[in-house]
Amino acid sequence: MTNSGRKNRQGRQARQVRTGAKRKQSVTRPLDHLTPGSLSSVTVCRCEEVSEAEVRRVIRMGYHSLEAVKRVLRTGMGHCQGRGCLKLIARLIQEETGIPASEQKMPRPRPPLKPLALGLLGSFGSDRSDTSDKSDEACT
Amino acid sequence: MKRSADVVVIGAGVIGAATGYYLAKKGLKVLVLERDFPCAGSTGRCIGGIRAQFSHDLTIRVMMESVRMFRGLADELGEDVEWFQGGYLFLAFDEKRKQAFLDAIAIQKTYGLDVSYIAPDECEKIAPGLDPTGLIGGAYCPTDGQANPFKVTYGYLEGIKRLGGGLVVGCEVKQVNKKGDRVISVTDAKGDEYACDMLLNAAGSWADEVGTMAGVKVPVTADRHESLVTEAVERVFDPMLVDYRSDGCYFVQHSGTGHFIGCYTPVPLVPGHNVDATDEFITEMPRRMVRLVPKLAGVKVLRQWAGSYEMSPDGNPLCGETPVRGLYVSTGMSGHGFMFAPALGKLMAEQMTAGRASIPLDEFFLSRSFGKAEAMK
Repeated sequence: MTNSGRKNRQGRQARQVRTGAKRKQSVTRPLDHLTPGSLSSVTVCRCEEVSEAEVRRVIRMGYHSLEAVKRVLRTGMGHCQGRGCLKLIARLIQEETGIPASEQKMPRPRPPLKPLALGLLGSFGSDRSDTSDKSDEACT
Repeated sequence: MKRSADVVVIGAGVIGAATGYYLAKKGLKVLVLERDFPCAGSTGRCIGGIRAQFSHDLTIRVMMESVRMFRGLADELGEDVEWFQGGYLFLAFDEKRKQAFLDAIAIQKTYGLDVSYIAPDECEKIAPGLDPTGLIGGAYCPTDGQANPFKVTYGYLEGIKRLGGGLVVGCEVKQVNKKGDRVISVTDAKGDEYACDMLLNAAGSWADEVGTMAGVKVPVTADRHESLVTEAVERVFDPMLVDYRSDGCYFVQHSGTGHFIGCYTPVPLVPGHNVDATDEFITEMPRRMVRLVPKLAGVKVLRQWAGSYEMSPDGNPLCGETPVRGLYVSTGMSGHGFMFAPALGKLMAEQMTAGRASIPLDEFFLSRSFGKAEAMK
């Protein structure tokens, strides 16, 4: 399950790819014109750089849900939070297992949905002046 | 349908997977039953930290063994588990915390752990960018580290399959069947029965429910802990930073990808299985991270989520035999299940097959009385 393309991956790259004209095509275009197998060299999840072949391999290992595939390959955990890849993977699961895409459970959307800077989010924090170390409950 | 195995494990989190693997290595046929999918519970929600800096003797010994095993886990499992020895740096902002660290270090050193109390300027060297305001020192162990919880769990599960065992997903155990005082099988929601000589309850924060099916009280309670992950950035520092203040936090930069991942312990605790994300966390956690390391202000948050710690009464694991013969338990990891898994999995496999582990686990036994709590939870 090594995923050689993952190292050195930069969010910037993923963000650039998703802007502009390509965006319109890739997510909204109907997929019915694609025949099984025609995606073999296609990157299914661009944020995490996961190919169709990798997804099929993991499904064949017995991981038959979007949640399970997500946890093996990180599909849906990147910058776009699965906007692009989840529908494609649902279709691959349908092809491989016969479980209809419409019956597959989508992973729960997680905030902030769009990447936001720590500094910006933190400016809404409580900013309590009490910074004393009084907690014996603290855990890691 | 009826299947049988030497050992049935309930729960495909890292504890069930690791224990199942070391049992399979002893030649036993292992079946892991999972209600949802592997890592669906606490394992898949943890941030992947691994440390031997604890205050309880047995925890230190087990965790030193676990760290040793993590080092060789990629070879053992044939899977890059992304082990990275970046260390843990616990920060002290007052004398009371400093003393607690010094007391723990004294115990840790008796077992030969490479750990020391260091001055603020040394903390800054280990964690460049750390704001030393109010800092009076830190406890640092360079041999602590991190790994990928998913890869470790899947590595163990694939190992079980290679050794002739199996994983059954979508299998929710509803009933534990006994003959006299001995467990003989379990039945799932679909009515399928799995016969076994030994049954391991590794159901994490649901282990109390599984215990009840067998008439065994397993005192675990779920506490919600929230986490977040940022985009990947170039390397900033290696160790896990732990800030124990009441509005503190802990976070680490992932070794391979460069994501920052972290969480904090809410005060007061939030009991229950609810894993919803909150607005409070998504604003508080960034504030606390930026206060500690100001230069992270521009790094973007990708996602927040929540998971359950399965808490035992004293913060230490609940392991070993139960009053029902053939039924074993391994849960109550209290937030440390991932880091415990290799050593505790191996030791529990010894306990289950030989009746005694090479590091005796008595102080973690379900039958113990719950006294002194872990000081470095």
